[in-house]
Amino acid sequence: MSFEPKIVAFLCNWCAYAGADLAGTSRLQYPANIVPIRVMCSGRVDPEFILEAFRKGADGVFIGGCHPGDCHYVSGNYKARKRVEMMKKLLKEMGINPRRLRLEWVSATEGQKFADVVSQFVEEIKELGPSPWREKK
Amino acid sequence: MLDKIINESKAYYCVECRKCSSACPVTRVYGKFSPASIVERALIGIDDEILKSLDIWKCLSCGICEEVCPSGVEFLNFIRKTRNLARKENNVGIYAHEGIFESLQKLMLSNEFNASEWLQGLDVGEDDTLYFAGCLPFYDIIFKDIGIKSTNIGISTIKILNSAGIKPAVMQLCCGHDALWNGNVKLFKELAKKNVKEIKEMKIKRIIFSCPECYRTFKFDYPKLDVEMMHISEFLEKEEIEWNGKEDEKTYTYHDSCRLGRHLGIYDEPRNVLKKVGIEVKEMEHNREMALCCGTSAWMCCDWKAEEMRKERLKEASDIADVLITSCPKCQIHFRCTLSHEGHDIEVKDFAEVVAERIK
Repeated sequence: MSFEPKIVAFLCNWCAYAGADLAGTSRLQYPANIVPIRVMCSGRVDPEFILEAFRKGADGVFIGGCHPGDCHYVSGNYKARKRVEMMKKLLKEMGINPRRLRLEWVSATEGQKFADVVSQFVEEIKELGPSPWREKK
Repeated sequence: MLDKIINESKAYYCVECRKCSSACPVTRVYGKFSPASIVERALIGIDDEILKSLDIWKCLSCGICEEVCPSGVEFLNFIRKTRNLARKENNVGIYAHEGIFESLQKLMLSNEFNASEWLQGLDVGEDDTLYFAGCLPFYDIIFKDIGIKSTNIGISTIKILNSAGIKPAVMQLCCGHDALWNGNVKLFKELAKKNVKEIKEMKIKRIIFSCPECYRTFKFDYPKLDVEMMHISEFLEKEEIEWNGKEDEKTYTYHDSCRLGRHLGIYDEPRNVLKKVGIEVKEMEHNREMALCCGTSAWMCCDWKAEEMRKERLKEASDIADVLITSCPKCQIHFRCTLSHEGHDIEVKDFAEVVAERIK
């Protein structure tokens, strides 16, 4: 059987989650490997969430937020951006390919973009193979 | 429920003199917290209230209360065991940094890390001496914003050891100190088991620490290891070191970290070593046993109270010196954090860094 990655997606309530909804209602196809979790803002995604997701066996973590300047809470997505930058370095240090963590800006109207980035991310994770932490949990 | 803990920590000796509360650094800035009242409440028997309160998480476990206690109540022992019990009742304190450090500890347990970038170009890995670096490389990444380079402490320590003709093996794993003091004894035991197993396999004779927390945990809380353990300052005091003659106009003061000072009783060694490399340490008003605290321990409950404590300490230091020497990487992080938004005219440096610069 080919490798089907498990990807946890933290989606911001105001943009990325609505974008995912739009992709659904517009009947756009994208792989079913992602498990979306709705958060109120991409800035709500603690580093701990990302680490816990990987610890519990996720192959990739996707974070979707509003475009810079569009945050419902003014600056949440800037915080997310900074945090992801830090987390990538941390993951690298811990032996996880930083490409397994991805931050994308998806607005509520960008259903097509959501479908595209998710398919692309799933492809990328398939290429990388299972997470080294997957079996150990 | 608390009876056993009261017996083990000799809390029944408490004479309610409240010396501990008058010395406690938390009570200084936040009068509602009092170690004495926690013990009194436990002795009266309102266990429920204690196990559900946030008070037990506000303690810094700095140990000043034990220094002043006339009856020998082991408050640190008491608070640690109470925390473990409170955790079972779902009373967990407020983690600083969104609990990232606990996640890291859990991850270290089940995975092999390869954080070796900072070790490149250093002479390591041949001797029967082990340098236990702890979590240093992770601090670099997490605290990049406030200019933390914790690995410099590690690099300096290795350089010092090299100049003494030792090529140490290096180990980077969490010792479990934070888990233990946060009442997560299960996680601590697992980490300890992993560390002990690895160290036994390595067949080494001596472990050198630069982090007082790791040292404390290895010395008192780990099962007995048949190896010699020492802090880098203890090592340097025995070793014959030569000053390279470097001088500057700056004045230096030394901050006793709670783990190295009150927990382990190492006060003179770092001062003697600094003297050897030509640094005259000016003492702050609160020094040695009565040293003030950096405000947070085990990444728990960092708030305005901690900030107040740091400001007070930094003011005390900046009044008399230009450079504050710390011996614990966490003290350095906490002081730098306050310095990043408070204007105190002082530089914070680690003991190992200062010595490595001035050694032949």
